[in-house]
Amino acid sequence: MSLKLAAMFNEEKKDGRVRAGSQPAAYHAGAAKPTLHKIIFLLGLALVLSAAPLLLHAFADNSAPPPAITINTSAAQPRPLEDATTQSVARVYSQAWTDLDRALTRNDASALNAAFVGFANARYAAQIKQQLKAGMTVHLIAHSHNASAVFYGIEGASLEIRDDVQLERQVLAKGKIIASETKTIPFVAILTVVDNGWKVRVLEEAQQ
Amino acid sequence: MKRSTSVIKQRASVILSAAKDLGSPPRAPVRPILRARSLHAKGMLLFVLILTLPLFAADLRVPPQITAGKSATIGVTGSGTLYISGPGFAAKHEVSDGNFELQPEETRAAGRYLAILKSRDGIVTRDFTIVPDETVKLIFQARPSRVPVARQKVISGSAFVFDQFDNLITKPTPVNFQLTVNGATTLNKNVTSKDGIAWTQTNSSPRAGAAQFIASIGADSVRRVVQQVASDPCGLKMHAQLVGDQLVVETDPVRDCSGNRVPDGTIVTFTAQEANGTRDQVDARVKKGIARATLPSMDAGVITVASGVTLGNQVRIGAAE
Repeated sequence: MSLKLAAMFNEEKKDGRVRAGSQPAAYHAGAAKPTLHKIIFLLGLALVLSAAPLLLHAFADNSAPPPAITINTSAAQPRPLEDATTQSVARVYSQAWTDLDRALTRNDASALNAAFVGFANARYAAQIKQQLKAGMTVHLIAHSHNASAVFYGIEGASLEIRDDVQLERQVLAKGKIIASETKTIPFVAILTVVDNGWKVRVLEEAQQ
Repeated sequence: MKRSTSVIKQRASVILSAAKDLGSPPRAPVRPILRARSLHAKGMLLFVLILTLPLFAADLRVPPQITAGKSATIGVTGSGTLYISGPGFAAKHEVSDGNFELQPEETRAAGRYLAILKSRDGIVTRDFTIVPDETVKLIFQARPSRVPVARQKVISGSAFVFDQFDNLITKPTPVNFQLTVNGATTLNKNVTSKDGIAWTQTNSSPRAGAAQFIASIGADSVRRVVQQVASDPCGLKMHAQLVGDQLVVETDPVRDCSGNRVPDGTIVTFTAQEANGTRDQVDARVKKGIARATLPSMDAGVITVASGVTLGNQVRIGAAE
């Protein structure tokens, strides 16, 4: 009988005696469980760590300035753009798109004030007011820009940009997306100098 | 055993009767035909239903293009919630079979719109475009507000073409620019707008005065005033007169090269250089077109006059003559 028991164990039998230090098979089966637990734990840890970049992104500081849109200035007339003006305009124009999305997503008209003035500010503020009434929001994702300055006033106080934007527009009702479309849409933007800085006065789709 | 024998007998009789039927001309069974016809009809009905199902599913019919400020009709099949989203506009309405009217005040902002019908059948999305109205509104900038006369390309004007609802009209539109001074037209030019902007640049006229700079499209026009002022003094002339023990020097009316009187307040400098090397200088402002100064008398010397970069005549006094 003892030999049979020994046969169950995974050890060499010598003299019919069980070798010291050997473990019963039943014990091996139990030992596999902790190893399995360890594997599952490590897998779970790896999963959590892989989500870390996403979490960091989600909680990232959104006040950092967006990457500037490149504006081609070779066609600007009647006056060529200076480098400093180009950089300043590009920064304001990029910020305008970010602010517009933020304003329409959160239904917060005050988010428009930094970059928008005049007709553009009034138009999108009116849209936000109506979205609030209807329980809607809009999320704009500009996947790409192809922007060119086509007009720069001789006095240096007004500028027009023509921009083909690959724009994804998501319409949400009560927080759920009810429609989404992605299209390349030509936009026209007019910027003017206001309080020693550039602001977007007009941002509209060009008639095709 | 007896039971099984009777069952066998029954089955055998059925088989035999079936065999007889095979041998005899087939008799059209009435019930199967009716069943087949009924099945055929049902199949056809189902087929028709499938084909016409889209007609009964929820749908939207929108005009592809609407003019800003005009009403429009959206055809609705089915019932549900209609959402409209576009630049400057958002709305939600409960709708059912029929037509939904977009009011003129809802179509003012030009751009691309989405009409979304959410019903029990699902979500239907259609897009449409609102284009600017035909009525034009000009926004005109003229720079600068004050220029010297007779200068090249110093006056510029930029006209921005909008419709009455503040939509930028990007299609090419002819804009007329006119510049008149004291009734004389110095510029009358048509420029076609590009992406909603037309601009021009012109010279200031030789005549000083309030230039009327006008941009117009059809009946709509905007006027700006550009003050044209005399340029630098030209042909500066003075004369000197001994009054008591003082020399009074006075210019002729100070004018620019076009004959326009320079503005009062323009600085004129008189310089008296004596023969012994002593030098006196007096700045005088133009008043009513004339500059005047009093210098100490001298036995001999030269008096000169200048304004800005313009040098006038010289007057020699005493033995230096």
